[in-house]
Amino acid sequence: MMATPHRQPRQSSFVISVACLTALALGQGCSARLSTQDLADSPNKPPITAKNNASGKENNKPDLPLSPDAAPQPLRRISSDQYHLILSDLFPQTLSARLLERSIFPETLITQGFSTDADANRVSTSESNRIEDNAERMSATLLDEADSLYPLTSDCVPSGFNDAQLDSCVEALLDETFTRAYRRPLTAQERQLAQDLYESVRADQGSRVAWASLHQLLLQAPALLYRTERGEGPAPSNPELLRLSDWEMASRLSFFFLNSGPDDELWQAAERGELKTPAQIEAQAQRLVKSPRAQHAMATFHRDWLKLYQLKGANREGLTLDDQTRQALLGESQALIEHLMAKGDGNLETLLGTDELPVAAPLAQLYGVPNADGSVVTMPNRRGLLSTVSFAMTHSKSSSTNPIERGVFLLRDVICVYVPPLPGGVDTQGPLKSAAHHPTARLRLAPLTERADCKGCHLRINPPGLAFENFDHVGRFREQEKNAPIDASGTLEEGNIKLTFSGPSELLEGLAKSRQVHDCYARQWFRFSTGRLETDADAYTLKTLSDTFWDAQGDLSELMVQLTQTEAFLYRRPHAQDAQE
Amino acid sequence: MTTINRRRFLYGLGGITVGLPFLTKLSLTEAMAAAPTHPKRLLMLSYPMGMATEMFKPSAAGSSFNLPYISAPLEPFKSSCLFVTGCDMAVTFLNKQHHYGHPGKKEAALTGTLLQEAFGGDRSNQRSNVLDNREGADRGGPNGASVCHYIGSQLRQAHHSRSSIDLGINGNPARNRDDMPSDFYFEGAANPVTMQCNPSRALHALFGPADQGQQAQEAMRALRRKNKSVLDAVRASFTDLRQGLDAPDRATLDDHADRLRQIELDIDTMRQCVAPPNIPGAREPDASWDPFRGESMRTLGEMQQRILGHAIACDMAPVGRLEYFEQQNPRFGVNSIDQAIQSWNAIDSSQGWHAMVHGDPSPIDGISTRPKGGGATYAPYLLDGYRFFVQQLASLLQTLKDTPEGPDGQSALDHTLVVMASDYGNGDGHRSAKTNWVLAGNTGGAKNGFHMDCAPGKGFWDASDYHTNHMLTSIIQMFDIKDASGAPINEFGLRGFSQGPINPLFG
Repeated sequence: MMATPHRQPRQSSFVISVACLTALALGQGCSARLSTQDLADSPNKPPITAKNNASGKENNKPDLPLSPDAAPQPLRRISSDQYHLILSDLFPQTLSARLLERSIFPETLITQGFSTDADANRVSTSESNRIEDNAERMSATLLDEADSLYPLTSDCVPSGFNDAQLDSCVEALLDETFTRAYRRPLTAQERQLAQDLYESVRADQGSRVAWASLHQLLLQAPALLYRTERGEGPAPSNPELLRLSDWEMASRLSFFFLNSGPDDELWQAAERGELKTPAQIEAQAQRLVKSPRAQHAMATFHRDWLKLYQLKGANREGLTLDDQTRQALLGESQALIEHLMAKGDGNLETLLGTDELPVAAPLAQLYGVPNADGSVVTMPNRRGLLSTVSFAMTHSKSSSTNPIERGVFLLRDVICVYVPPLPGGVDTQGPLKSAAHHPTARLRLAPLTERADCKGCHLRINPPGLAFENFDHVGRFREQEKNAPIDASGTLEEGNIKLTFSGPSELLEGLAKSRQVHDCYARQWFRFSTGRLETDADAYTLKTLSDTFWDAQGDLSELMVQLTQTEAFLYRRPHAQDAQE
Repeated sequence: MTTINRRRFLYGLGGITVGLPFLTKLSLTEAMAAAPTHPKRLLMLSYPMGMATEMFKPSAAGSSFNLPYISAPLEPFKSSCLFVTGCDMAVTFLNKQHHYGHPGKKEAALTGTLLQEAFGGDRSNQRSNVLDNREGADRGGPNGASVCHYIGSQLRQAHHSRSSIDLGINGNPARNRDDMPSDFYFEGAANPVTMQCNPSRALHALFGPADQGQQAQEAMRALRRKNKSVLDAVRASFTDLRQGLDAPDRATLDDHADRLRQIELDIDTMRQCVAPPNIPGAREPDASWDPFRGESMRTLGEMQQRILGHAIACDMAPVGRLEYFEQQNPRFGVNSIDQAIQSWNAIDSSQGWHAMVHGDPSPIDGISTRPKGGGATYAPYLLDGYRFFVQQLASLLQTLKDTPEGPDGQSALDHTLVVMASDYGNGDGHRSAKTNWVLAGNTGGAKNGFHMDCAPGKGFWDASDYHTNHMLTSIIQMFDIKDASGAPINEFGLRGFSQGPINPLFG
């Protein structure tokens, strides 16, 4: 169960950003930092209102009171992954495979954040066209192969069906397939609309075409594509929040754990009105988190968090990235999670600190593990998820490592501390010219930690970035660069983290045990689950989630379950003025 | 290329006469119009990998020049062309990840901005945000729309059934794709236009049934009726679903529903713009890409240009775009270059057009394709490859010239600005300095029959007098587009980066 929330006022969450930016303005870079306690609570990006949290501008709001609250939840269109999983769940495998093979549904593209983000799935004109084209294409496939495929669209349609039988099955199609796709019972208007469509097309072109046209509607219906939520009745903890309806909660749970629509048990629970209380919702969450599908959702989270999706179109010098290799790279995090879960060791400390990694056959050479077949291998030079070849390769340039990006990623996305953007007008090449001839990245980047105008930030960025220099641009372990030994040692002082390390393994072991990293990881899950960035109103949710995660020894399953117990998950806050039509 | 005569549409082909009211009204409007001062539409032609500049660049700046081998196909249109050379794509110099190689160049050519991950701060399309993030990566889409999208939004009128006609020429024999996201054209930040590469699909999307018999036409009409019924239902579903939602959520649904409206307009238009062109090989409804796989860019280009020309004759949209895809090993349909690519590939499959553009030594004789590193002159096949794109432009100009539009023997070329653009200047270094442009047709008061050298007497590494953001602003000013206060648009692309057009082009 959830730990008792700490109700003391929140510490100065945004002070670091203000101080840092102020220091920058004074020409002091980031060296003028505040105390470690201030840093401990500093968020990834200082302003945490939905509109400006990526701006890096200062935010000097006073301390925030912690009280049960949640920010408004923007309307989300389902991602391309979710669309395809819904189709897989909706139809028998033979039919869904045929439809997915024909799919041209627009892929959710992200360059930051998560594929579940509302912003990542806002529709463009070309995407709108593709969605429509996809529905037409899939329904044309159904019609072309009606004799074999129509009986798979509904149990009501028999083999060797005739027009009259199709006509008599429309109600069943609406009751079963449409209802499941819409993730709730149809409204009277929706039912009438579908019936009218069927009748008008049937009168013009016959029952077979009309049956296809119903599917054409279904496959692009806004009720399928959008996760609408209205809410009903005030929340017990805060009258300004609304409880979700049972159907809305079923969808929240299913998209979070299954990346798809509700399964049978969620469906039945919604029908019985048993998704109202936190306890009822937690019971479902406990069940769902044990599902193999939950591991798929976990893999999606890690793919997005670590930006591994960038490998889909990337090229790396000296390496042929064929489809098999790309698949193996993208599947690394899932394989590791499955291994840890199977061992009963699914916690963040192990995920980031284990020296046991599954090695897929296409990656054998990169890991230096001949005959790798997906089995787990103990590797003394690697520790967990951030030491995989997929992570190292993602955060590299095409022919060299990228220590600065690696360092910035670690600070911003793993530790969740603010790293200001490069100040305007800085010549980034000039300081490095004199050091370009050096064999190792540490020496080449040394001017950045020596010059007064650079070192404020680079004394923070470079040590964690250079720690990964033992992994080259395709993730191979190395001890030398251009015949010179690599020095991957350093110190990291960020908030309550104080680490001195001799190389990546010690750094990663230290991070794996860090409270601050646990808090950051929980914050990332919050973003993944809500599809938005946190705002001030989410402070209570984040605080309670972080405490619970830490108390649960970083248990990944428990984190997912406890996320469902937060205000942000249980309830919704209507948007301000003009909330309802 | 067959002449496309507007009367074919006004009076129909093969006895088809639907849509006359729309077209008749249009023609009357035009008949009363005076000769246009500014173009009313923009056609874009883009291709990758820059140019062999030395063999493209007109012999002198100003109005008196000769055209060398690559640009010679434009000789018949010389007086209608405005050549702009030596124009730096300076916006890409702001971020070191954009300096070399492919990333960000195609995207910047017509948007005048960098890839999104080059931006820091609030990531808005401001120069200061790029300077704030010099370490920013060369990833993400461009942080703004392309100039043709902006111009299209300004020119679109009620009779235009669509905002643009977007056709791709897929030169990759192995790529099995009907439609491809554009590398050059964007309707918003990181939002590429989809280019239809399948001529059959393009034909049917724009014009509906081919003139191939009563039965096929009836089938297509039935398909359209069904699609329209479904779309009506989908749009009604949006109306239902928005009830009771918060205002921001309603706005999200409304935005999607508005975009669906375009699809409905397309279906309506098919009824209005009558006879589709007779294009052999592009006749079967819903034909797959397979019949076109391996076809040369020359063949596909001719088909797509005929379709585009036909759509222009219908005045279907204010913007038309052609994009030639494939920078590794395209099949040109030009013997010399195709055979050279084949020979190179036979020895080393990683070689081909891309390596030739770089000026790499031929794996056959070890001689560079460009006058460097052992090459004394240009390989003829390299020049033929580049010349192909200019020939395509000349062909498009001829199509427009052959399409009557307006009074007194005017043609569509008199009403249209055509722009040819690429990602690099000289292709060998894959750099975006000293790019070359051709503008043709109605240049809206800018000079015609003129060569503007933006870097006279300057070396490759010297900054040119004007850069591509000035070029994009110039294109906008050729359309006489004004801002809300009535002032000319003076800046396009990255904000705070450049002001004004290339002044010598005007007046």
